[in-house]
Amino acid sequence: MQRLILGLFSFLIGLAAQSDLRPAIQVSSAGKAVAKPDLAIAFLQVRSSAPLANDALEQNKKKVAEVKAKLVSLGYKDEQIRFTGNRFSPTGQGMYYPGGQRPTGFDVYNNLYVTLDASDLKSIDGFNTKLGTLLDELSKIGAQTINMPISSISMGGASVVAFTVRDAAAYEKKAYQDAMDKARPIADDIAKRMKVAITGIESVNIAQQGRQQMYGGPANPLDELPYEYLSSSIDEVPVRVRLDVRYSYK
Amino acid sequence: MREASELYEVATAKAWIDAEMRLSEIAAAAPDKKLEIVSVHYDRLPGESLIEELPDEPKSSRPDAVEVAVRLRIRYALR
Repeated sequence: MQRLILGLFSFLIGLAAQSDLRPAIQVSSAGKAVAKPDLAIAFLQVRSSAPLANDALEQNKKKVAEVKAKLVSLGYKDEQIRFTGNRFSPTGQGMYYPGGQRPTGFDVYNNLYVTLDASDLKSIDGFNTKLGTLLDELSKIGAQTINMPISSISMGGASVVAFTVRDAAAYEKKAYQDAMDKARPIADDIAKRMKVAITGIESVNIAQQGRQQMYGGPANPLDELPYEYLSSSIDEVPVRVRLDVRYSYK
Repeated sequence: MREASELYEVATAKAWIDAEMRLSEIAAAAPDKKLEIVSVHYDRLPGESLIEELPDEPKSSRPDAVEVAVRLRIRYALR
């Protein structure tokens, strides 16, 4: 049997502030529901480099048009194709600082999200074949796969596809209920130690949810996508919520 | 291996004992006042896995031990 180490912290906070004097037991609780994905998103990019910015832009516009045409010929509809628009950056992947090495030109890039829907996800083999064809055909004409933050979450290394659900509301409700169900026994345990009785729920705050929880805020590239929950698994999309539940007692 | 929930119960009990000890020290330092607990905030350090392939349970790189932690933040009044 494994030896178990129990770590613990306890902090005592004196009552300097008068704003939070109401008696309460507050429990931070996490809940989770598992959704079956009904949408997959492949992450790609079309990038061009040239000494002059306008030349790079023109090259990239042509590449984007070719990629669009290829996607249509593969049977993808407009609503499955999303380009984020051309963006400019210094050539290469380096960082350039005032007074230091100067870039020798410009990169223009356009991120591309291609979505595959529920009918494509029915068969894993079928999905993988379709995805493989998509990646092969687009890479032949210059589109590159990109490693989005979701990639680093998988043990398998970089994944160029993420799975999600179109409507997560029902799963969010389940995750919320899961968190509430977990919070109450903890509150009862604390109340027992305090020799008091819980009289009701005073407030419930959603502390963290979805992308905010996974990636720490809005400043990440996935904000270009309207989906809150992304997974690298074709089988399940975890929908998580973290709550602060405040119980009154007497 | 013991269930994670059982580990958290033990950790909570230990944190509570630690808190009570520190509260008694505070009360002893102010013998003319009465110490009252006003609120307790329980925070379990997250056990969920950022790596999707792994389950939402506490994990360890050590073969002989798994560590769990809870944090109790207690507000008190000296009246």
